[in-house]
Amino acid sequence: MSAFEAALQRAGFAVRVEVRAGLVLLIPREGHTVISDEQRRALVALTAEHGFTHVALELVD
Amino acid sequence: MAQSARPDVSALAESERRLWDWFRTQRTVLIGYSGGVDSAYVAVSACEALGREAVLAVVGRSAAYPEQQWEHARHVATQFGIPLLEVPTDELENPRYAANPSNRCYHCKDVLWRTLTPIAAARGFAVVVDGTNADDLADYRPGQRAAREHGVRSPLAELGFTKNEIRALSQRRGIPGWSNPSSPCLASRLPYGFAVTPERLAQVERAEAALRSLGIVGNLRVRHHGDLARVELDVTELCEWLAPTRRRLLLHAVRESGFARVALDMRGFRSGSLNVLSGVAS
Repeated sequence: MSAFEAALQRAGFAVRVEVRAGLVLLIPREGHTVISDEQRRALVALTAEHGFTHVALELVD
Repeated sequence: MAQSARPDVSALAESERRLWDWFRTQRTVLIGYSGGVDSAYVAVSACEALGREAVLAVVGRSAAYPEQQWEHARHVATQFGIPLLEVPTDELENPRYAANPSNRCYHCKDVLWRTLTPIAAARGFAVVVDGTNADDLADYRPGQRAAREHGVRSPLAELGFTKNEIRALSQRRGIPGWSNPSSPCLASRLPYGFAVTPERLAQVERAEAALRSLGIVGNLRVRHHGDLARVELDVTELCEWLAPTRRRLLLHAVRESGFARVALDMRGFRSGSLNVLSGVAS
């Protein structure tokens, strides 16, 4: 597990991570995980801290 | 997008007077016209300053120009009596454009102005102009070099018109779409180095149209990452579409447009987002 994934886990995000250069794709482990705006902003800050310019949440059935 | 008009009416009127004077100095103008906020305002102003017989608005049509934009461009031209000509442009046939380098816009505009400047010469138009405004000069826009090389003038930029001023003046003139979000060509949704093809452009166009039909307003971009569509929305819209039931609607709309995977960008819409991802802007 990367430092970034560990940080996500500590912050309470149940997601897998797929890195595409500066873009990090977050894949929910539990389908339609609820993400509040506060959590969204926390995600953006966390990914920026780890050097990613873009972060996106994959939408799954 | 709710933009409010600038309150300083006298300053706006003075700006517009200077623009009319600029047009009158030229006598006749051919306009590279897309129907977007800036070129629509240029076309309407030119017609008012010079009379319709001294103006021709020309749209360069290719797969990178959305059908909805074309319909809007025609609507504005009809409403204001702007003489309009549609010409095909073949930038996708140019391998230097299709390879999608970071100066793709240069190659696109080079084709556009190579097509339009002979039309202007043949029909006796004194000058070819575009809708570049003063704000655009601060952005990464390699297409502006092509305009300079072909002698194309940018009256809005030359006279210091900002986007907000153009929106306010367009609102005063009743030009439809004055508050519309900026609408760069569909190729801007493809990361540099990822080839521009008619099929990929059509995927993006279908996906964005499908999302608009769901009621999404404001800035919207479907960024094409091959198998993945990354959707950028204004943050206010993004917060609404983060709800699980709405995420499902969004997912299905974009999937049906030909993408295997769909993701919602957590930072929301950023103009030039792919420039940042490619490292050509910060």
